[in-house]
Amino acid sequence: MKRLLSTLMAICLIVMSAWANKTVSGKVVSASDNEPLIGATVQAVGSSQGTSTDLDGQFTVTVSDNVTQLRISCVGYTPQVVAVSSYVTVALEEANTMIDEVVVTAMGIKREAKALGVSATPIKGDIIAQARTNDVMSSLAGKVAGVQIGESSADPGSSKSVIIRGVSSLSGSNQPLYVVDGVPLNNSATYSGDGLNSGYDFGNGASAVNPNDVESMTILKGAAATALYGSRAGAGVILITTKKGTKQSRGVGIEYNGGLQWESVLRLPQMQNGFGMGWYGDHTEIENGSWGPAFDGSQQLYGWVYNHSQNLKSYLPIKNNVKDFFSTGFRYSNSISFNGATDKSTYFVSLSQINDDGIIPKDADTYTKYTVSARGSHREGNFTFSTSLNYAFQRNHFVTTGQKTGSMYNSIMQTPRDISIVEMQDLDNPFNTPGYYYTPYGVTNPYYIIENFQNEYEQERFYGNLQLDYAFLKYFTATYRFGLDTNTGHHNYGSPNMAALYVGTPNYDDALKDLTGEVSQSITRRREIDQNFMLTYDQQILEDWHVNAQLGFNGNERTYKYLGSTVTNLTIPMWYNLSNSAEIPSTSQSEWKRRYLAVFGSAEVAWRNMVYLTLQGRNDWSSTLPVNNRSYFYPGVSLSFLFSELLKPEQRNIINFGKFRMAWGRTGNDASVYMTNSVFAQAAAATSGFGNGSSFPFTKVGVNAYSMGNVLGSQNLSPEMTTEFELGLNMAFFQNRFSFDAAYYDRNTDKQIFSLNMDPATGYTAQNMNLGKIRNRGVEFLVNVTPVKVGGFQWDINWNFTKNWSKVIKLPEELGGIATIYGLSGGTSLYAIEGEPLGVFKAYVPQMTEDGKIICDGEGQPLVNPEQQIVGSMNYKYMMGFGTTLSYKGISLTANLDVRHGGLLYSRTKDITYFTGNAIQTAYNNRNPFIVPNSVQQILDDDGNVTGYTENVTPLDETGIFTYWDAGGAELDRAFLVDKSYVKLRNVVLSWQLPSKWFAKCFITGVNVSFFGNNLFVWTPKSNTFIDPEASSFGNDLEGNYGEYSANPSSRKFGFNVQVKF
Amino acid sequence: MKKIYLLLTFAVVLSLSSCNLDINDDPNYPSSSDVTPDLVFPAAENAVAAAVGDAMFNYSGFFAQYFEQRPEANQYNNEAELNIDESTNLFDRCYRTLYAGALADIKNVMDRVENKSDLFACTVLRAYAFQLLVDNLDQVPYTEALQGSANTNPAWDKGEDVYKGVLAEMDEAEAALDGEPMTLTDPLLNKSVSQWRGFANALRLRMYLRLIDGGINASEYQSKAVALAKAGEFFTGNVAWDVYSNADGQYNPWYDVARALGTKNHVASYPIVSYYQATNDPRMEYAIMKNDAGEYVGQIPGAKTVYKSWGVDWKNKDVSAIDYTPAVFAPIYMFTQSELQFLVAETQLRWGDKAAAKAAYEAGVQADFASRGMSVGTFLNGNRVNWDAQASDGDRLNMIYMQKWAALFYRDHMEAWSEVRRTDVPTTCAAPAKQVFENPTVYSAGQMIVPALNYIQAGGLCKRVPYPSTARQLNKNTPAAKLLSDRVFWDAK
Repeated sequence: MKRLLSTLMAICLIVMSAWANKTVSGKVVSASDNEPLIGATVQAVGSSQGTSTDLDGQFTVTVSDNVTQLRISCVGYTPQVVAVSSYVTVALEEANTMIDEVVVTAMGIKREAKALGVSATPIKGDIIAQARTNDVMSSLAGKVAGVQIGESSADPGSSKSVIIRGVSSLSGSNQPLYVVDGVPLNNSATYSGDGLNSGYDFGNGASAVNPNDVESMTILKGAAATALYGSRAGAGVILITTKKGTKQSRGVGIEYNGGLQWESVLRLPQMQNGFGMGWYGDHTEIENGSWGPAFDGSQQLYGWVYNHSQNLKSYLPIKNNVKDFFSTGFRYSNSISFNGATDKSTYFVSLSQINDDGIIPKDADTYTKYTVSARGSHREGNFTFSTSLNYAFQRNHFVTTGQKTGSMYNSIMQTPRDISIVEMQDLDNPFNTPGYYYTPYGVTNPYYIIENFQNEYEQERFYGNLQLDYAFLKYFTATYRFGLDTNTGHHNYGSPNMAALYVGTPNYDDALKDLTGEVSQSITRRREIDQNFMLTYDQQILEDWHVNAQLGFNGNERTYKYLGSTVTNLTIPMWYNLSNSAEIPSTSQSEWKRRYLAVFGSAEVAWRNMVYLTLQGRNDWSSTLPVNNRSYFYPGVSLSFLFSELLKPEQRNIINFGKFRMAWGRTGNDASVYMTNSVFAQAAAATSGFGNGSSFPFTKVGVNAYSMGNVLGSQNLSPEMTTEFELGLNMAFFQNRFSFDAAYYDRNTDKQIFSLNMDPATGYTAQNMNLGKIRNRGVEFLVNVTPVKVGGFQWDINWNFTKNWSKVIKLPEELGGIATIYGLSGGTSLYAIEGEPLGVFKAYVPQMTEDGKIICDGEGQPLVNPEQQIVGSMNYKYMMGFGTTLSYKGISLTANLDVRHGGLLYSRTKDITYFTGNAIQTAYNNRNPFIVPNSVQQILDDDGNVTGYTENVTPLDETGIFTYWDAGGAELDRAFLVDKSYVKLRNVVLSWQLPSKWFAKCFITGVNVSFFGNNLFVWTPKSNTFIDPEASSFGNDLEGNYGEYSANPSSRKFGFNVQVKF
Repeated sequence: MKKIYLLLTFAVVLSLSSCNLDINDDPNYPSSSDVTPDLVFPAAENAVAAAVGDAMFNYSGFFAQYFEQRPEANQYNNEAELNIDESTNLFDRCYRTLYAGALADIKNVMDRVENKSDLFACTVLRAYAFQLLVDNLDQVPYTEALQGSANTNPAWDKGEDVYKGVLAEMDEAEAALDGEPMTLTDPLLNKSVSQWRGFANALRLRMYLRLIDGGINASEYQSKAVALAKAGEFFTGNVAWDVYSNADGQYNPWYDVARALGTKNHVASYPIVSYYQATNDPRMEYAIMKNDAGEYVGQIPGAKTVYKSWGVDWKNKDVSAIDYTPAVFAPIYMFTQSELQFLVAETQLRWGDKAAAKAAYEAGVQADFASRGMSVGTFLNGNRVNWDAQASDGDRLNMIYMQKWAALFYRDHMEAWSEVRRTDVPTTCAAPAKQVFENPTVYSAGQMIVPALNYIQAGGLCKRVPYPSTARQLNKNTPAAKLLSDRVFWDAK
């Protein structure tokens, strides 16, 4: 360290610049409102001399005699070059393109976007706040090239998925690292591990950030851009810079935002209206499906007999039955901030509140969030102290999804077309109670579920940082930063003891006897401590050179603790407390801890503001890898060349900007915790796949036992390595009226760390190992056009396009080149298969003849091909976004379309509506007997060998029709994989900045009223009559791409917001 | 300058304060050295028991035609209609539990203990697990199994070789016994070496009979079987995994599944009801309930959805449901005394002492009544079940087989299904289901009935289970797919 310091000092001494002998002063203001700009950079052109503006926008700088021009720049404004005079006043225009913006890049370094050799997309805070979503990410869906943002579920407060440049890691996280003011933010999502039975999603960590607090965000995409952030940045980095206090012209700066929002159901399955309650073509009184005869308007009794009476219904469809169930959701939100600054100090304090009640009736799906932030800084001499403290509280209620009795949507989807759901609302009516509910088959009254099941989550979050900067020797800054992020989550689940409540009822024996209620309470604690020490050197050398270098040290520790307890057989049927049972609660605990240490460095050399070269490297030591492979190094290099600097002035009237960039970088990624050793676990065995399992300790014999774990640990694990190369071209024409940014990337993730399944005959079901290689290649385009700019009227259009080609390059041959990502046991599953894109579905399909005819069995049903076939991939073929803004004198109208094309997802909603005969497709041929279209039957010889085919002439009867659709129709299991293409009208915002002269004489300084709508419409391919294809029941990462398992429907949102500044 | 160093030192010291990276031992599980073989052996016993008493008990209950799918529920349509292929994953969980659970744990114990009695018990349990695997799949990984990452594609050995292999293992381990007491915790047989020997002998007898009827070295195994039957060194009581109680997490696992599914799915099949009726068997009421009309009515196999075309509106209320009550915390029967006695009776009748055969036969019937807490009373006087009332030894053999089938109901369905396959008793009714339904005289009580809706293309009954799809996907040596009508090696008849 000592040697480095002295070397750097030697450089400073050699590079002494000439003494200045001219003083220039002036003022920098914003062209739009004439307000002073604080902290704008004033730099002598062709020299290193410069300063920045003070709190009144004033500056004074002493420059050499030969300096004739000053360059004035400020974050978010177009820089200007002005001639030197004794006093200059400069009005900067707000930047309207990406080219002129200043972006925050790795480790908080501010760079002009044009200098970057890597992909970094800046987003201004007002864009994030504009859509008025609950969290910072949702508002960006469809707006950023190369970034796939999805709502994993439409329920309020649920997690968002952000995937940058495709999925690269089979097992690690593919979500980006969020860094708030230099400190990593824990982004773990809280969702059900059992999406099949009882799914829920209480959101991801990044939702704790109040969108109104965000000054700007930067999305760093390539490995060369993210490497300094270490292992966790392999999937990209989202840098969030929060608002700081600024000097106010009078008093305290106050900003208030208040809004109301309404939500309505967006997408429900299309249902048939021809057939009602029944099975195999007959009326039944207790079936949960619509396989009865055709509707005829007759009066039909249904359900059980209670007190000598039975329900009666008209045998007619209730067309809006499902839609009528859902209510209008309502959200109100308030946010207020106070800020100010003196010459030496700044402060910013904000409070926010959101109460969101979704589209499910009552308050069964709600999201409440409160945030409090306090930030401040103080400069004393060469020292600057700053701190940021943030508290966030959230509470969610979620109606569970999946196939268990507590799943509301599962019950709704299994309601015959002629039974009114809204009429089930009165829970005092015995027929609407689970005891006399019309069917015993695993479903019950949805109103009963939302009223009596409990599924609540509360989280308290505290995160923030302390930072100390020390500037010394003119060109050096030392920074120490301590970051802390800690949260405690409490999940509270309860289901009623229906066995006790409904003993003796008709459903008791078949459905309720064993539903003895459950209380489950769990507490999760997470803590992350991140410490950084950094030394920065920044100097203009001679006239043409600028050097910026950093050397840093990073230490990080993360801990996780979980304690959960569950008890069944509730004494008081609906009191959800662990003490409420004569049985002994079952308790479980788990915890983990991981650390890493790292040293990193980077150096950027700039020549004549035209060529920029950056070199960087980082070495990590991680606790999760075997001792011998613990240390790993990864370098990066990037180059950008502003070729427009070489153009003649008249050429620059046409091409005003042109940049070529290239970058190469690596990121290493460590393993998950505890993958190096095999373990013994408390023994359990279940061979049927249902039930809670009966396991040790067996109290009757007083014996406990441990079984060798089924996953084989590995002492040979080495870090996963991602290598990425990218090229980019960025050009602007006609004073930025037209600009584009194009990028190509090639990302290879090698030596993936994975638990690979093995034939259990080996004694293990999986082994941990480094395996295979995944490649993502892609192109990204961003085009901005301003076709009209007349007077105060402006029309902007932007278009972004992303195409990613993913491919599994290599998986070990001895393991068949296949790895399971997620799947239904033995059913449709998602795999990584060598030579295929990452995430292909295999499903059972019919046996086909060579000329494409379906082979049917003797019953006329399609014969299953015993080998599952690859039927498609989870990946979009391309993604596109269209945005347009019309603005005129403070009024603006913005609209964004989000387009995704291609890919499949599993839909249980489709599966169950086929099973129940509710799906519109099941009314095919009016349910008259039919022969499977385009099908044949086998001709067999005496030995059962196939000798040929003959036309299938066996029609399906009423029983066969059910069997046919239940199996998926002519496509069999392939049918339940739905095309996930869509076009969504993501948002429309009409905003009006009231003329400031209206408030000239009062304390208000600005008022903005906006009307907004989010997810207003979704268009899907004709084959998808079932779901909003963004749905996921399996979290927000790779497995989430599997699909939905009776996920609650999505909603459209619209509302208005008032912003008042004082 | 001093300040910088101060700052630097301050920061680095702070950062390094938690730089110990040796924290990757999982605190959620006991350390491997703390888990002694003593703690592992019961896990292996439990895994084997769960396989035979949960999934196998269930599907074999359909294959042995004790169970039928209840008309207005759908959980086990595939089992009742034999609509099963590799995609059904009928056997996957058993395969995983037996190999990655039981056999891997047994191997771990055997690698770590030296006590000969412990090793013998492990060997017997291992033989039992492989016998189950072969009886379901015929070919299974054996010689190359359980080698972890050293062999991720173990070869599949012929069923016959696996039988011979585990028989030889048992002989070797028994020969090595040196009188030391057993030390492993053993809830199955309470550390009784003589019980383990008795269990081993019973297993041998079971496997010899299969080898004989499979036509494999018949004369050699015949003399061995006769010697075993004569010596009579078998276990007493039942070999049963008796650890369950009436509490959540402690239920019998098969019952636990029925409970979790909520909806009742099992009704009694036509053959078992008709046979119990024909023999006036009081065991009828043990687990079979009367229908709404107060009668015992079995459902014709695979006919649930077909009744309609026969002109009957067939509903839950029409048929005898299976009573789950006796199963709530019932032990899992891994080898019943009753089955053992029937095997002895068969051996003695075919090749040995006929008086001993009669005694064993009656002991077999009595043992089963006793296990149900019932008295045999005058049952054995019945014409169809009385030893002396039978005309020929052929009839007696048939009666032994039939009573074994009657006795294994609600006890050990896997063995019931295997013995039906080996002995072809109960015989399969020649008439199709529809005729049985329309004209019961074509049917004799207890006969198997080819399911009315039967997905086996070749027709007939289920003779094996398909290979696990996990093996198909992950092991390239898995043999080509088989049909349900393909037989295991010992099912030669």
